[in-house]
Amino acid sequence: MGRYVIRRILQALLTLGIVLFLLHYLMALSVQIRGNPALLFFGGDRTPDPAMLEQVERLYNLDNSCYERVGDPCITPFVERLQDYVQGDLGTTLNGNRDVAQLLSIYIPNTLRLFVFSVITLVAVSMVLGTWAARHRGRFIDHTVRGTTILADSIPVFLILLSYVYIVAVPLTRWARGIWGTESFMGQVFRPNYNPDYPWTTIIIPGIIVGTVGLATMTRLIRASQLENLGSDFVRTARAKGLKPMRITIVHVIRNSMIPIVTGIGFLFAFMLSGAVLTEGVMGIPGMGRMIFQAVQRQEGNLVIVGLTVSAFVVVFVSLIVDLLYAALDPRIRYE
Amino acid sequence: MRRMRMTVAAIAAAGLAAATAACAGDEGDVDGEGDGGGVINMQIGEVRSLIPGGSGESEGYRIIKNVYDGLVYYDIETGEPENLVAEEITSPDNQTWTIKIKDGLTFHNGEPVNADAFIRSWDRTAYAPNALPLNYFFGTFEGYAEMNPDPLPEDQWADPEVPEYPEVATTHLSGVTAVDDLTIEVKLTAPFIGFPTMLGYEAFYPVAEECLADLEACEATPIGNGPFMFEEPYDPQAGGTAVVWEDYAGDKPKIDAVEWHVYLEGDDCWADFLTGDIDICSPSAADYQSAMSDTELAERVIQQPDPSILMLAFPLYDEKFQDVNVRRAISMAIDREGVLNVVGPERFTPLDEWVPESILGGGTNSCGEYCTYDPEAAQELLAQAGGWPEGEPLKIWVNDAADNLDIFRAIGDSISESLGITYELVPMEWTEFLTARENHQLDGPFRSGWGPDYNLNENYLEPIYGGGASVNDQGWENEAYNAKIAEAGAAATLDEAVALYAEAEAILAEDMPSVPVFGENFNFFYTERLDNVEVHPIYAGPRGDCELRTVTITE
Repeated sequence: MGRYVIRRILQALLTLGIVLFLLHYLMALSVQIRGNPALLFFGGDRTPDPAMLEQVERLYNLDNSCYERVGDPCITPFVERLQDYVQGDLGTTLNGNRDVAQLLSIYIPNTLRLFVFSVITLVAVSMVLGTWAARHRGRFIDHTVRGTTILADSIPVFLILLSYVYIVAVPLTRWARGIWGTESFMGQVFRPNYNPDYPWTTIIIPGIIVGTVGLATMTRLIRASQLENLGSDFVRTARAKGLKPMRITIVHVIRNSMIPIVTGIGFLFAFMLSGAVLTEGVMGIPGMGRMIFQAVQRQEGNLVIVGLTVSAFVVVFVSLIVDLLYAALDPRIRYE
Repeated sequence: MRRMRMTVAAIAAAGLAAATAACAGDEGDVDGEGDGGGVINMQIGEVRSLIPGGSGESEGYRIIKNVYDGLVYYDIETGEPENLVAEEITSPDNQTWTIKIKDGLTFHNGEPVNADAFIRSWDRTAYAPNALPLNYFFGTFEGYAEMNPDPLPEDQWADPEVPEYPEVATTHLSGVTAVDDLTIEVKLTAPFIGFPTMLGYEAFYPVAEECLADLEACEATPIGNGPFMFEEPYDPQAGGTAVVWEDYAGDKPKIDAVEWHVYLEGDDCWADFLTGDIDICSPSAADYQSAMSDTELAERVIQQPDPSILMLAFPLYDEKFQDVNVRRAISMAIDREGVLNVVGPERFTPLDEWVPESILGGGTNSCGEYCTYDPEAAQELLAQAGGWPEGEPLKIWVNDAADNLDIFRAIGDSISESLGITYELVPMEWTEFLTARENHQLDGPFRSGWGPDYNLNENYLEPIYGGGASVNDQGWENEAYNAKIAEAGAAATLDEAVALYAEAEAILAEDMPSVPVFGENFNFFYTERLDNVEVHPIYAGPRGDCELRTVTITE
């Protein structure tokens, strides 16, 4: 087990190293092809003094001549960048000179809060619906659940978001405030936009909306794996030896059905980050998805690299956890 | 592209308390003493910096102008500069200026607002290694060159493609001296009558000594000398609250405090305005119609011209556009009214001048007949210029932000219909567009926008078309124009200067290196709890703003 974990961690480090280099190379290409982002510092309408431009380029390590040769992988700046990262210096943003580490300390918790609510929504709703459908296999309820979740999944998440923000949120907020008052939980929870004064309350609805991404997949996964277990030999044996139905469901069916579900959640995590880009954008949540999206638009190379590395790290980390959970869930799986 | 406003970037400088929910207080802990009282909720974008000289975009300036007092403030009616911190600004020759400061003024922390307070701020901004966005404002000061040196000779560069610069040893603008504690003498490199007009801008605000000692803390909790002050740090992502400064010497605001709520790029305050969480907001084009058809809302709207303008500029370095008649033909081919009906009639007004009416010296209608839609005359002019190359499309270059593409497609359609030539819209990403425009790589008309730094027609002329053909985006140069600009700078009075700048505008109009298309409009809605809502004609945030020094809260 220990050796397995160490091996996986080393693999993860290698993956992250490759990701870092690829990102660095792509950003260098972007500077080489799209033009110098240092110009953004001056806003655009004004032609900056060459001396000033030079200062700004130096300030952001964009003064290396490799940025003028298309295709040059810019190895020297890459090594410098790695050295800075190792020393804990994640650099600063091009515009406004803000410390990237500090930005991350603002953005990461917001996205994590969003994920907490969306994972809870996803797991709770799909567990209930999946189990329900499995119990009533082939009957009306089964078809209804499957049909509804497919329908919910086929509506793009941005449509749900936009209709919520522009149609539902304003009347709902006004109505709730009329009854419970502005400062109450109810007066805040339906707000159309995230508000940093209420970091938990105003992130619940966006979290729930992100949670609907992948609902159909999860429900069907749960239904299928429960059906498989319900018809298996060990459940029949358990019934035969007179175990209570509750115990059979929890210990034998649900636990054994967890493996595909855990896999699914790990897989959906990466999906949810793309949902987060939209949700954070529409509802004004300063989070990672939105930060990466804007950093790409703004040519904030350093921010793009750090942001995507963090998300790559999360994906690698989550898949490691998923693999380890397999062993915990299925006694037959052992890692040597 | 409104300069910094559209710049997507505006993340404010330096470090702040990292706490995610670090919101600066709520209504409960505000203790100001205005007449009517109350806290106003304002939307704001990301600010770049809260120390004068570091912002240079509309959002940062909206806070800075309320937390700091400059030497002058622009009158809301006329837009003309009126002394605020300054007692008197005089000059015998428009080149050496003497600024007397009012006695007894202090910063929020008690430090005196004296000559040194201004000089230390200006030195900081003018010093090249600080790389501050408003550095260029000091380009006309004596001593600027020493703080912003030219590159070393080419043979001394380590890499022949990367210019290198000498170390900057000078940290003080030699043209600025403190005659006594309350008098500053400024020497410019050339006469400039508009100098006092510039002084109301953020670049020229004072900075406290304590601020420079700890810039990071000062970014978060600025030490100003204006009517509002921060008791708790401002967070560029979460906003903050500024309360009225008890000891403010001037007219105290009528409200207790202002709470700024941050809307990052792409976010919209409109939904929050409808729930009453934001007091002033400008709807997007999509929400505009429904807002105006709501009779109750339509009573609470402020509509006035925004001094930002939109132009179609020509690459004069391309031979196709060297004949002025081609440029005139394209201008006359644009049905400005018709385009407005496509993109939203109240959002813009047709423009037939290079300096809009709300700016001092603007409103000259200098473009005249050439900015009037007349397809027959346009065709005639084009024929006189030898016609348009057969089979070649007219390429229109735009950056694809906001609804630029819709607007320029409508403009392109109009040109195409009037002149009978095909056109092609080439969208570019912002930095790519900037680089291409600056390096003179475009082969067709391109989008050009401008918003003012200060209230003088010169600001619409010199920064855009000055500097010579190799420097400005259009590649335009005219001896008579340069001479007129210089003459205006040396004029004896501001009135004379304004008239001379207007003459320079007329020279520009003869050559038409760009075509004025639209002036923009503000459409700001406010909640019923506000009264005496005034929007400054020169400086207002594009997504909703008002004068915090005068607004009152009725509830």
